[in-house]
Amino acid sequence: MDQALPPDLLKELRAELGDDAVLAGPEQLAAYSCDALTMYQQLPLAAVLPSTPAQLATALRLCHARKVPVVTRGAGTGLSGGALPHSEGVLLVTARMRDIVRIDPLARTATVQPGVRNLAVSDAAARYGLFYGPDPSSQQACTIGGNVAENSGGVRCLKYGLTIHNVQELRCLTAAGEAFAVDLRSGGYDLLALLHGSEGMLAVVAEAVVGLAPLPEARATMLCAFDSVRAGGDAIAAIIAAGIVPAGLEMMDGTAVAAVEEFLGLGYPRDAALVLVCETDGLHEDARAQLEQVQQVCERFGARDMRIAKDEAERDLLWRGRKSALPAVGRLATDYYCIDGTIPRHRLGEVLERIAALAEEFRLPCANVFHASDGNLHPLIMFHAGDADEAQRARDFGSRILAACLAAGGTVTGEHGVGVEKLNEMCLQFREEELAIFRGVRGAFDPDGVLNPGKAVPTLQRCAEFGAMHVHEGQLPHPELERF
Amino acid sequence: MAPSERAARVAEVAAAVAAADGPLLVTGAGLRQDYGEPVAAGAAELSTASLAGVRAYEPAELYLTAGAGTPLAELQAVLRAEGQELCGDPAGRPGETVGGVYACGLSGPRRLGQGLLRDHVLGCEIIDGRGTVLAFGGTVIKNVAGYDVSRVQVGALGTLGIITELSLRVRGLAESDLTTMLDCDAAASLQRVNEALARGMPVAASSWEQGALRLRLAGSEAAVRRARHEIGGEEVPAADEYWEPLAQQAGGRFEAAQQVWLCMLPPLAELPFDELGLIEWAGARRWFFDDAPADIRRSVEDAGGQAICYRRAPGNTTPVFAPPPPVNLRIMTRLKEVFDPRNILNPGRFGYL
Repeated sequence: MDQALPPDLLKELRAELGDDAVLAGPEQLAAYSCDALTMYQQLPLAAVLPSTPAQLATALRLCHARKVPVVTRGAGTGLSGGALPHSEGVLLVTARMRDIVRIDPLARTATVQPGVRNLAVSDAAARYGLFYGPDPSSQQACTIGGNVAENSGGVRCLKYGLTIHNVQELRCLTAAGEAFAVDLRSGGYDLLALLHGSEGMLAVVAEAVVGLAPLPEARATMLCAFDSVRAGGDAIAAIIAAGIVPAGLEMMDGTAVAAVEEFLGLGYPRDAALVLVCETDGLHEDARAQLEQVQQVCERFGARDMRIAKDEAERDLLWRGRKSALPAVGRLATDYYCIDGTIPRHRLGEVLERIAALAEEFRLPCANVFHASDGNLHPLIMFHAGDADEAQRARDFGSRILAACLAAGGTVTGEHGVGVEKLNEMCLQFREEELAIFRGVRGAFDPDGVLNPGKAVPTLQRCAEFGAMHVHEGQLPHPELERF
Repeated sequence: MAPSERAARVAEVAAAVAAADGPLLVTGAGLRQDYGEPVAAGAAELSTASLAGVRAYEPAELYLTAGAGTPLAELQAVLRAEGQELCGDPAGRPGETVGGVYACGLSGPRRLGQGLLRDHVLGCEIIDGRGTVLAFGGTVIKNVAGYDVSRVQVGALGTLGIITELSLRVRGLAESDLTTMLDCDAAASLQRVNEALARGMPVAASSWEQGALRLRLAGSEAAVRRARHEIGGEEVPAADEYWEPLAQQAGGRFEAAQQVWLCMLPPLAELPFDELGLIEWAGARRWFFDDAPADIRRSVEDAGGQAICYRRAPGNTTPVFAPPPPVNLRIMTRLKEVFDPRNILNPGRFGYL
């Protein structure tokens, strides 16, 4: 295996970073063959685990000098294969860089290394009455560096923003290991914005300064059920239209509710078409008053089985079902495939109907959970990965769902990123001229194409091949290409 | 405007870009040509004023899509009728277009509570320097497909593409809005605003000048009432008369001064000459005027900030923008080549690019 790397690279990496920071060989690397999208697997030639920004820069410099591809990985919780290793490259793991360098309570910022876990920031800030807003569901494990790469969202993002709204400063390294910093005060083009969601292809984060929000004085939480998807969807639209900004507005469809009930027996209404969990927070006055408004709206649309959390224990109970939806679905099938599209909220009903029709077509069950406040839909397709035909059907089903999200005026990825998973769908969402701009942007940061090659932005050839399978309304995409 | 007519107008602008054989001066209403360095002499003016109108507005989806040539005031009126407003407090004077305002990227004082203009840009349509019409982003808030080209257009001063259309996030108007004024010096004002924010008080905007700290409180009636009580101070009557001109960077010292400095700083950084300035955004933005010290740019940079010579006194040759560090500049220069390989869109606007 090692012979595919330039012969002196491992030696130099070990000399500079220490033996324990460089892993090679299939046994040592086995744990790094995939991120949380396990249907794609690939061993890297080596994995490097720097402990300091200086070591991170050294690793990049050594690889860049030999034009060896580098894939950066945080905790490996990504769901689009963004941290899938490169067969001829090095996996750069930031997990050891987990120092919370500084918390400034008055300025409400935390300075952290890229491997710091998302939840660790909030835990450390809590003693100052502060917390970090973005809360992707993997927040126990996922890292701030990875959150920047994916522009991670979560449940609270309508109120507290995505990662891009909460990062004030990044100290980065180019592919060649040169340091540069970007912040909200920088002049010129907004490189800070561009780095968010760039999937590790533009630069590597060495340190981040993130903004912290005051912990809410109060929270109010409710759960209710709707008998039709349409009524629930309309209630969601009306809540937002009323100017309420919930800290969380989460939906599960009947299939997801049934799975959760079977798993935990929390007393969620099993016969509902749709269950909604809503939380408001802030000052005492606001949290309670806003939840009352939400209740009134929901009642207007026929909500039933309304439960308001009386205390923290009941609040946990109401949330537990939603937060356990994925593992609950995981119990019903050997594998599930979590899809990540975004749609305009008011199209929820028809998109769910479309997904139900596709489930019949592909003969695979599908449960749906929905970040209703921001339109981000996560269908969970249940399948058996050991069955090649089922696995292929799951992938095709997922792709068709994303096409439906796009057709409804949404996007093919809300928060999981493109990675290797949605390269084909990028060809649906963007024209070649736009993809060419993306390639140009990448070249502006990393002209040699060393960082995470092959991810996020499809090649012209790939779109042509995908287009050949999906001829759209008689229009063959990319007629300029020769086909073989 | 019918979709076909809109497309035809965009195509017309795009054709003009494709056919250009020299530099173009991109304008909306042409009211912000004094911001930034002058564009190369002899540039042909290309206006987006014909691309006006709201194409889509869905209050319940919290977004709006409008042509770049739409007057900002017109958009604001459309939104107000539905009890909503644009997020980020875009700073536009009467007549300015939405494209121009976002290309400049300047926010008003309520950026403090709402975030940057770019935070709320959901998607855009642009014409690049080749004359190609391109679309990025969309109309939903969670969208990570492709690099975030839409947000990079904000503040790019029309040098990375001509914005033809923007999709912007909107929000509900605050139920209650009042301003309280406290006497304190500049350093104390930084403490007070940041303490109020750390306690979760609904501070929508802050301004300190000449010994007076004004805090604009906005939110529900109950929250504003409580914040007013906890923060104290004297309630300012007719506070709009103070905030509106400030949001347009107009009136008072903005009119009178020959030279105006826009400084972006870490909020709690203290400058030895803070007392001379106008401090917004809890300290993150500070304006200085004719009595600013000669070495202001150095002082601000030493404090971890960035000073822009927003208005230059006649005869002064200070660059408007300080050049970024070498690695940043190299990336920006290459980005410019990607979007505008012939360097015809507002060339020279940044000075260093």
